[in-house]
Amino acid sequence: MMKKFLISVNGNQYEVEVEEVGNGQSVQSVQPIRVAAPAPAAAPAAKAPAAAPEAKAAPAVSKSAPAGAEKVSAPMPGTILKVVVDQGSVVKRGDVVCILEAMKMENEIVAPKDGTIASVNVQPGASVNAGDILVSIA
Amino acid sequence: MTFVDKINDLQDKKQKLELGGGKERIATQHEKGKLTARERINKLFDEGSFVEVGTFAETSCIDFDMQKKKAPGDGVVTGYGTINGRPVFAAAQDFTVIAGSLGGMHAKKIVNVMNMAAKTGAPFIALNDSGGARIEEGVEALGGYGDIFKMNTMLSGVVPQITVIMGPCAGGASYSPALSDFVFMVENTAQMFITGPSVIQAITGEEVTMDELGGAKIHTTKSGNAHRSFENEDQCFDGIKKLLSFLPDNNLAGLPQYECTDSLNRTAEAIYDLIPEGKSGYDVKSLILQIVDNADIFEIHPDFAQNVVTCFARINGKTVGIVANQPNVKAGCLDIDASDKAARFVRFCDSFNVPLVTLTDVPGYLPGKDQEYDGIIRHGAKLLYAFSEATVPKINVITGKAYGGAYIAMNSKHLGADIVYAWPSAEIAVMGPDGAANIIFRKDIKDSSDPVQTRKDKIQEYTDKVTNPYVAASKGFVDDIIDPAQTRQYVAAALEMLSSKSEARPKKKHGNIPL
Repeated sequence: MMKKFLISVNGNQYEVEVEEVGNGQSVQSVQPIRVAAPAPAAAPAAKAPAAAPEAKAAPAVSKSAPAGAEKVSAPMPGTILKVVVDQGSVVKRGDVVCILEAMKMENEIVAPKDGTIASVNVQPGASVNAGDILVSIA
Repeated sequence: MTFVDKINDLQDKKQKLELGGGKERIATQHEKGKLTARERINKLFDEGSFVEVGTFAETSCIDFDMQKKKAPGDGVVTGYGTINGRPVFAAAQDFTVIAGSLGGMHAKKIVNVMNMAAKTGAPFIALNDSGGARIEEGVEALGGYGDIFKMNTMLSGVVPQITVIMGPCAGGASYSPALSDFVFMVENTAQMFITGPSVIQAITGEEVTMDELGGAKIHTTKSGNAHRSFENEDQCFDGIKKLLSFLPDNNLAGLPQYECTDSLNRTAEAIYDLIPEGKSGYDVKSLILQIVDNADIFEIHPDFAQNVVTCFARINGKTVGIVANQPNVKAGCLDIDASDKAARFVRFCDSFNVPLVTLTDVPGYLPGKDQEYDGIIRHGAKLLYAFSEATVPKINVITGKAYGGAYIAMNSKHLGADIVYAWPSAEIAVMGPDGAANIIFRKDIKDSSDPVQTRKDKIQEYTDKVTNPYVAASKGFVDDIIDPAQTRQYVAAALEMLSSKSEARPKKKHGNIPL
C-alpha cells in the first residue's frame, strides 16, 4: 500500500510516496511541491532513503513504449518480482518476460508475439496496476 | 394439364426454387468463400435426411413493387432432418435471395420450424446469413423478428438452440443469436453488430471496419457474444456436430450415452508432474484432459474470459459440464467476464440435466476500481446464484487455492455441492496468510521487538494451522481429501452415485437472478 509523506528539507517541501515491502523501504517517487533551484533539489534527493539513487542506477527503464511497439500490460495489480528480459532481447511468442506477484501467485507474463523487446517499463519491486505497461515488443 | 403434366411441372418448379436467387448470385456467394443455404444444409445434415418445409412460401407484400422481385422461399430454407442419426430442425437464410433479407413470410417459416422443434423436442439450429430486415416490408419485418425472439425465449431451456453466423447479421437480427444457447461464427465472412460502421461513422465520427466492429475475433475474445469461431464453414459444421454429440435432444430426454472405452480405474500419475511446486501457474486444461474420457473436450468460450475454463466432456460415457479456474490467466481469479461466462454455462447445464464438475483453484476475485465500477458485485453474484439454483449432480474438486468469496462461488458445499473433494495441497481459507497475519496478529507484530521477523513467523503459523484442507474437512465442508492421481476414479464414482439425484426447490414462477 502506498503511503504519502510530506518531507520538509531545508525549508523546501517534498511530496514522497512510500511503499512498505517488509525488508526496508523504497521510495517510489520524489516530487517537489515548491519549485526550488536545481542545487537544493539535488541535495534532498541524495539524502532521501537509499533506494532513490538505486532507482536511478537501474538498467534502462522507460516511462513509455516506442510508437508501433505492442504493449504488454499487467493483467492485474501486483508487484514485479523479476524482469527476465532487457531492451533488445529477442523473444518468441509465449516466452516469459517478467514475473508478476499477484493474488498469492507468481504469474508468468509472456510475450504475445515473436519480436524484440523495444522497452522495459518496470523494474523488480515496482508496484503496478492493471493496464500498466510492463514491456513493449517491436 | 394432365395429372402427369402437373407432376412434371412440380419437379420443374422445385428445381428452379432450389437455385434460390439464381446461378449468378450463387457464384458471387462462392467467390466470397461462402456456401449457399442448401449447400450448408446438405453438409450439416446426414445425407438424404433433410425434409424441407415451406419451399413454396412467398411474400404477400406489394408495397414498393415488392411483387416484381422474385423471392424463392422468401429467402430462407427451413425443415428437419437428422445429424448423426438424431433429429434436428434448422432454418438456413439464403443470401442469394434479396440478400437473405427477412420479410414477414421469411420469419413465419422460421417460427414454424421452431414451433415444431419445441413440440417434438429436438434441437433447433439457425444458419444466419442476411442483410437484415427487408425494408420494403417495413413493420412486418420488425414483427417477424419479434416473433422469432419470442420463440427463442419460449424454446430456451426446452431444446438446445445453436445459432451460426455465416454472413452479415446486423441490427436487431443479432438478438436471435443472443437469445440462443450457443453462437458460432465463421472467421472473415461473418460479422455481427447492432449498428454498422457507416451509421457509427455518421453519428460519432468513429471509423471502424465491419470485421473490427463485429467479426469473429471480436465476439469470441472481447464481447463474448460468440462461443466459438471457426476458420471456415466446413470446420464450423464439424463443430456443430461435435457439440450436439454432448447434448440431449431436449430437457426431458436423457443424456446421450456412449460406450466408455477409457477405464474408470485409470490413475493419472501424470497429474503429479502437471502441478508445479511453489506459486507458479499451470494450464488447467491439461488437468481436465487427464480426468475425462479419452482426453476429449468441447470448450465453450475458449478465447473469452480465459481465467475460467468451461467445457463439455464425458466421464463414463456420459456428458459432464466442467467449470475450472485457469491459474495461467489472471492467476485464475474470478472477475466480471469469468462470472458471466461460468454462470451462463452452469445454467445451461442445469436446464438440460448435465452434471457439473468443478476444479477449484482460485485466489479470489480480481481487485481493482474498474471491476468495482463495472459491477463485480452483481456479476459475481450470478455465479453464486447459478450454482445454488442448479439441481443437477454437483461435484467440486479443490485442487489448489480456494479463498474467500471465490471459494464459496466455486460450487462449494454451502451452495449445495453434493460431493466436495480436496487435494492435500489445497488451501481453503477466508484470506491469504499475508493478509490474515496482518489482522489477527497485529498486536503481536506491533509489540514485537522485531516486527519483520514476527510477521514472517506469524504468516508461517497461519499457513500451517489454517490454510490446509483438513480444517475445512474437519467441519464437513470437504467430504474427503484425495490423492490427485485418483481424481478421475473419485469423480466417476460420485457421478454414478448421483445419477439418480432428485432435488426439490420451493415453488415459484422463477427466481430473480442478478443481471
